[in-house]
Amino acid sequence: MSCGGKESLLCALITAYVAVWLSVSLYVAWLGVRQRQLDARLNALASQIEQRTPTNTSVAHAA
Amino acid sequence: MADRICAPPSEGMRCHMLIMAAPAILLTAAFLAIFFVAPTERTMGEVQRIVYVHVSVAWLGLLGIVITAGTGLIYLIRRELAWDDWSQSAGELGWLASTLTLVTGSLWAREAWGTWWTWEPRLTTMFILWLIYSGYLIVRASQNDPHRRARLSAVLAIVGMLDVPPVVMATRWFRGMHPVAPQMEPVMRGVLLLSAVSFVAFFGLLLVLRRKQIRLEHAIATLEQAVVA
Repeated sequence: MSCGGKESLLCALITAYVAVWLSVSLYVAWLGVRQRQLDARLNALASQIEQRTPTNTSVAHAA
Repeated sequence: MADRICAPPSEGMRCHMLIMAAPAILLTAAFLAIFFVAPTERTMGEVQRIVYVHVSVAWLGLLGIVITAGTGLIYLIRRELAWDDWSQSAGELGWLASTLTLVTGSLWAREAWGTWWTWEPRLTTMFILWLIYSGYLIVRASQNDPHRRARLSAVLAIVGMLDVPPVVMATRWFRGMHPVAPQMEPVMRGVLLLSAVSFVAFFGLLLVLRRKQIRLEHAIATLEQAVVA
């Protein structure tokens, strides 16, 4: 579909909604990526604490 | 937020999911209403439907700076970093909303005015708000000390609030091309209200989720320092 002439109105409408949807989706995806990074850091911390403490000590999670 | 609303423990999970799903359901209903319920505007035709999302994100942009500044002010008074977490979350979402305002507005302007951009009062003041948000995020990224970062960004956000009245009143105080209060049929007004409420609910959910994540980041950073020490 071309975006010139009479179709430009429809193009503008679709572009606007796609821009909003894409931006919000990218932000949500970024939140997800960030959360995975935090989970990885938390797991790494838990491992470090497990290695340092005696085996019968339970490990408490930060969050 | 959901932790406080949902009763533990057996009902908690379903309640959480309902609170998470509600804004998404509202937003879906709003989009359906925009395309299938709202009538076609006589002058601009289909492209006028951009207005429903453009106005919604514009209101979010203004709401965002109010929340950012408000929570920043509370931090300055109480010096509790928890308030700065809210400020950061609102600042990020406000930047996103103001960016989308400029993008959707430009797309509409191209069709309505024949130009992507013009330095008329409403557009200019909105662009200034976007610059304020951008400056806020840059300041935050440049500071390592949490309290210094919170202090500087709170001051910037509070000063940035000064731009809100000009944005809101630009079409009334100054002569420009931006519509003041376009004539809308009752159905259109209803759809616009639904759209605005849906966006506010959805962004509210993102605000809470992001703030929880920021809080988790700080807690992990503190633990990492303790483990290294």
